[in-house]
Amino acid sequence: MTEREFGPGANVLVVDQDGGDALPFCLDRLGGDGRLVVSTDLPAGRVVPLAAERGEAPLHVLDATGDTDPSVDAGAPGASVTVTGPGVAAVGEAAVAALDEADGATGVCVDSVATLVARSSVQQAYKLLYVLAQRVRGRGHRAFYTWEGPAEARTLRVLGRALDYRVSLDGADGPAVRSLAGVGDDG
Amino acid sequence: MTGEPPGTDPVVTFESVVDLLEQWEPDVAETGTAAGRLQGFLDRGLNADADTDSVLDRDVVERRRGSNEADVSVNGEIGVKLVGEVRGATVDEVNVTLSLLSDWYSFVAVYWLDPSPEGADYRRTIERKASAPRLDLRGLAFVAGDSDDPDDADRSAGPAGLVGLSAGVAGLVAMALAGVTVVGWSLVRVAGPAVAGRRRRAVPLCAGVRDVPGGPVAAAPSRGCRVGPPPAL
Repeated sequence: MTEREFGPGANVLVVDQDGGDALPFCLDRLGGDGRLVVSTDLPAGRVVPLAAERGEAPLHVLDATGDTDPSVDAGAPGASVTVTGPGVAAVGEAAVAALDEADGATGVCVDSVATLVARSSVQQAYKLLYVLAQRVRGRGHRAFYTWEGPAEARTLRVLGRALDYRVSLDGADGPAVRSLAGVGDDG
Repeated sequence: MTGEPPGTDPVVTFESVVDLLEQWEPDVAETGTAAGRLQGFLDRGLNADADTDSVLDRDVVERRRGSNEADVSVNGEIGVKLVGEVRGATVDEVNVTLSLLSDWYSFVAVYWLDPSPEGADYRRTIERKASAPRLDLRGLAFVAGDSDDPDDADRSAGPAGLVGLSAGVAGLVAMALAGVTVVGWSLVRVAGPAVAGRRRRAVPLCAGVRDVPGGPVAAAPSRGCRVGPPPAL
């Protein structure tokens, strides 16, 4: 399995404990008929130019930083922005609504799960990932969920249970991919 | 937390799971069959009041498989393990399982499917050795199903035999021990809940909580004894 082979319906946790590379990694691989970026840290004004350099499919940014003016303009052709509250529940509602309204297969990037955990709890973040992952699988989208910065191993194991693959960007030999299907099972 | 709805505290969710386990009637002693029923029971109990308009209001209750896994998980972070008959030869096995579960869950609840008196000493040995701080867990609970043996209640009540007393006497003793219990609760709150619970109608009476290196643990959990935060009024 290589990181280029994530098929429709795949949910991928992208871990970069050194930080800085996870969002570009995801943006490079979104593909699909449309792109949805859920941003908790970077405001839409910074996400749109980054995404514009890395693909041509229509882009929708869900700005959940809590700092952006709701009347913000995307500032780029083919891009749109929605500003939502920073809480996990608000992010979940907005992300699900955006996915439900999407036409065709959509590439999704949730950046970042670490921030969602910091704002609420591992359990709330797990519920969000679980709900999104179900929709992604059921509708043939493809989703990446970033974790940047230090992480407790158990936290990543818990969150990974809701997803299908985990990519580590911290190795010297490039991205390391592993399947999370049946992790913890011995059957 | 930022703008989170009420009822999303992970410790509260764990306590709700333990409360439901105390009410559960497994009906079957076979782990696999019981796990499927438990999943449905927890799902119904935890989500009875869920707001169907909110996608994150429902707790996620999933069936797990594998000897190194819990049998049922709640919100990914809470693991419930069903344990059948415990004998001397299986004590170490259960201890290892608890250790493995602590790598995968922040909260663990063990449900004794077979609370027969023959295994009582072994179960107590496991419960005494395990503690949330020692296993690096945020919460740990042991819950036993009902035993068919009417003598089990008295034998499992520990040296004080408090559960066997009349309600009035038990009430007086409870008042006398209230100070110890309150101190115990405050100690447990600091390090996270370590719960030893049994489905029981009698007033919960705790033998006490001792502080040990690594944090407080329940001292000799007995039938009807629950060490943890006081129930919400």
